Amino acid sequence: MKSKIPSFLLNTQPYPKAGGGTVKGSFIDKGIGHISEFYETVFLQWELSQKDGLFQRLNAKTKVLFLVLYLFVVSVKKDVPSEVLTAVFILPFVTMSRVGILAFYWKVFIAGLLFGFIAGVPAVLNVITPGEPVYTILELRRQYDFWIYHVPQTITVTREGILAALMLTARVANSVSITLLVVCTTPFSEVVKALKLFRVPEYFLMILTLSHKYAFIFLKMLRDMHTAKKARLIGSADAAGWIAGRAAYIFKKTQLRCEDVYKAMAGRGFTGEVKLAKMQHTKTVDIMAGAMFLTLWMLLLIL
Amino acid sequence: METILALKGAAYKYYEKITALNGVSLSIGRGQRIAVIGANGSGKSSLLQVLAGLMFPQSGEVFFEGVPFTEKSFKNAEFLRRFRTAVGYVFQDSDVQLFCPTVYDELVFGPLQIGMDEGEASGRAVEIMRMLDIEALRDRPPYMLSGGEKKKAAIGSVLTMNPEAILLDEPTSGLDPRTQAFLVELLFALNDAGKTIVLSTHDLALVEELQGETVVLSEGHTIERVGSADDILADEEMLLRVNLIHEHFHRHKGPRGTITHLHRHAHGD
Repeated sequence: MKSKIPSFLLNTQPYPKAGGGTVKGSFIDKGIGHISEFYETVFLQWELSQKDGLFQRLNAKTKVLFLVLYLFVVSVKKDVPSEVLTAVFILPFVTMSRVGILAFYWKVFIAGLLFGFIAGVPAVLNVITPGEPVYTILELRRQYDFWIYHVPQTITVTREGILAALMLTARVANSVSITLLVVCTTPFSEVVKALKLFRVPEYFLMILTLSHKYAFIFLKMLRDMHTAKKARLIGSADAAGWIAGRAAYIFKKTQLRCEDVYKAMAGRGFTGEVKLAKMQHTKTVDIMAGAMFLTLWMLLLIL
Repeated sequence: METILALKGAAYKYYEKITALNGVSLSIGRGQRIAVIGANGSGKSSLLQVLAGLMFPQSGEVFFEGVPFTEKSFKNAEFLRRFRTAVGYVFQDSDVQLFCPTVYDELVFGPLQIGMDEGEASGRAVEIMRMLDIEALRDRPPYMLSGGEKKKAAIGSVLTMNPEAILLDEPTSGLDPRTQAFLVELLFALNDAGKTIVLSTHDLALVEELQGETVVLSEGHTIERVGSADDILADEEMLLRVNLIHEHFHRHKGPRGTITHLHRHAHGD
């Protein structure tokens, strides 16, 4: 074997000195960074769902009941104090589920800000929401009318507009906190099974499970390929070309894996009709929690 | 000994071009312990998949309990249920085999597909988890398992169907020594319980440890030789011919008996 080793391998070469400066990270690096974040999120979600908290102890069916009831309350309430009251009702559940209150409400705040407040900002103006002026922003030379729109001569922030924007923000924040509480405290597998409650066909649930799993596996493959490429690369390379090549490779690999997975399913008796295990049985704690959710829900509706 | 699975002149080509099996004839008796060995690409996995009814030979025949079967046979629900219950296949890549949301779901998947009542399937899953020491992994998604844990879950997913013959494709590859030892012990225990064990490997130490009938596949995708583990391992000329050993291969007698391993040494060039 020794005689077959090329001579250059027998010597240590001086490291290449050509070029200099800073090596810039490509957009691929950023993309791969997001893949790693996805992993962390999935692991974190799984960790949270395994904690010994109130919602973690409950059956997915009970949590789906909570989700549906409280999303209904959030959408039917028409004033900001009621939305605030709903948020106050949800807070003890979040605390008792030990999901990390600061991180939890930070996510709720970001979602509320982006999809509620920022999206609702134009509504504070009398251009969108006419009403009692609170603050004048701009004085135009005259009013403008085109198609169905009317732009008044004085652009003001209206009281009704502020309430509408606050209402939207509160609704988004409450909806996100309710959904996030259920998602954070329920493993993905149980979320999928809970979809049975809505009569989603089992083969669709199987496809959902397989897709989730393979998104995971192929993202890992992509991350490993990128790491392997980085380990052999000095400086930047043709990123677009690399992505195109890897996309084709992953497509082929997916196709081959699909065939193998089908064989694995067929080998265990799969004939085209999927039979999945049922959800966990309803326990006393689920019945008690369900009754509590229902009582509080009715209370919220009345208030 | 009653034959459970057999091949007669089976041939298979991938994409009708790449030969995987070239006229292979083989008979597997009920309760036997068989190791199929061969170099990479010699057709070990293909041979096992044909026996497991996952691939079908383009020529030749494959038999289950003395009755020939083809792809069409699996359209018969009774045969399908009988065959899939009797013959279990463990893939080399556990990620292929684990497609359910959790380890528990994996274990009950097979029994549920063959129409077993969920209570019984669940009971079997619990017992298998206890046997494989994976009870703590019950609700964990398979992609969050280590290599050894995945292998245990994959084997468990087949064992819950209580197969009479278990076909394992390179079961010890990529596993740490402790998990390998656990697996070998498990295979012995299953064989002692009357299960037929057929595994493919190119790990000669495993062949020696298993001490079963050994089938050698050549690089021409045919059966080179069938014999006892000791006879096969002693035939160094044949093992060299099928590219399973290097010319510097030696068998050493260790303190606890014979251990087959590669012994590296240099020859003057």
